[in-house]
Amino acid sequence: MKVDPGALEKRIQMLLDDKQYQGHPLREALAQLWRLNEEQWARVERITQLSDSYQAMMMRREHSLSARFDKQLRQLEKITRISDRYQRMLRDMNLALEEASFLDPLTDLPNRRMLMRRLEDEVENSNKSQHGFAVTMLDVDYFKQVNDSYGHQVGDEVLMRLGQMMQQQVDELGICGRWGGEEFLLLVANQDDTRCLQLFDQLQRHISGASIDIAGISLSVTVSLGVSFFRPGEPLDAVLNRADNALYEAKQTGRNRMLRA
Amino acid sequence: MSDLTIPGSQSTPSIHASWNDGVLAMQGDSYPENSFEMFGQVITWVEQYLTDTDRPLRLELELLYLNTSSIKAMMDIFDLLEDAHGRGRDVVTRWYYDEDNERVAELAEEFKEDCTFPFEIVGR
Repeated sequence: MKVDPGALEKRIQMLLDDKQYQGHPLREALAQLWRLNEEQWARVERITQLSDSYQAMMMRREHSLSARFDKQLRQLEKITRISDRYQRMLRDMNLALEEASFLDPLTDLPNRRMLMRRLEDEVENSNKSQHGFAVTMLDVDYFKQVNDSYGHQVGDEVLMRLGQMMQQQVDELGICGRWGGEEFLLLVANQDDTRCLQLFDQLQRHISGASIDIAGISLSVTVSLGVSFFRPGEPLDAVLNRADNALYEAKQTGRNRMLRA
Repeated sequence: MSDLTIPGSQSTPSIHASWNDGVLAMQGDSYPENSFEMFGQVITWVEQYLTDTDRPLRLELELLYLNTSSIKAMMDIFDLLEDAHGRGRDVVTRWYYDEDNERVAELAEEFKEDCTFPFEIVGR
C-alpha cells in the first residue's frame, strides 16, 4: 500500500493533538517516534545541503582551474610563436653573415676564404680522379696609377668591371674570385691544359682590348697572369706558389702577358 | 621604493627603472643565463610601483633579440600593465626599433596583440 506522507503527517498530528488519547502509552511512544523521525529528516536535509555546496565549490574550483589552464595554454602558444619568429630571424641573419663572409663586397665575387675552400675541395677531387686543375693568379698592371689618376672610386669600379669580365670568361668552367687588392684567382677544372691556356690567353687579350667607360672617363688596363696546373698528390701551396712565381715572372718580363709555370 | 638599475651586457639588456619619473626603460639583447632572476627584480619593481603609487607608468623598450624565457617575462610584465589598465590606470608602452630591421617591429606587434593599453611601435 502506498503511503501519502502528507496525509500521514496530518493524521499523526491529529492523533497526537486529540485530548482523548492523553496519557495513553501508545500516544507517548508515537510522539517520541514522530520526534525522532523529524530529527532524522532534518539531518538528511543538512547532509544534502552540505554535499550540494561542497559540489558547487568543487565545480567553481574546477572552472577556475580550467580557465587558468586555458589562459596558460594561450600564453604558451604565444611564447612559442614569438620564439619561433626570433629563431627564424636569427637563422636568416646567420645566412646573411655566412654569405657576407664568403663574398667580396666590392666585386660580389667569392673572397679569398671561399676560394681557399674551393681550392681544397678541388685538391681532394683531383687526388681521387688523378686529373689536375688550373690555377691562375691575375694581377692588374699599374693599378696604383688608376687610383692615383682617377681616384679610388674609379679604381673600385675598374675592379668590379674586371671581375665581371673574368666571370663571363670562366663562366661554368670554374670559379674566379678576389684574392686581395687588385689580384684575382681563377680556377678551372675538368678541362685539358690546352683549353685552359687558351681560355686564360683569351681573357688577357679581352681585358687589354676592352675600353672601360666610367662616368664619362674611358680607360683601359692590362693584366698579367701566372698559370699553374695542380699535380695530384702535391700540397695546395705548391700549385699556388708556382702560379705566384709565374705571375711575378710575367710582371718582370714586361706585364700584359700570360706565363705558364 | 627606489630606482632599479641593471647595467647591460652582451647577453642582457640595460635596465633602468625610475620611481620618480614612472619610467621603465630596457635596451639591448636578452638571453641571460638566468632570466627569472634578472626579470624577477623588474617584475617586482613594476608590481610595487603599480601598488604603491597611482601615477602613470611608461615602458620605453628598445629590445632586439629575446630568448624564450625573456619572452615569457615580457609577457608577464605586459599582463601586469594590462591588469592595471583594466583598473583605470594610466600605462603606456613605447617599443622603438631600427627601421633597418623591420622584423623587430613585427615581433613587437606580436607582443602588442593582446594588449588594450596604448602600445606604440616607433621606428627610428
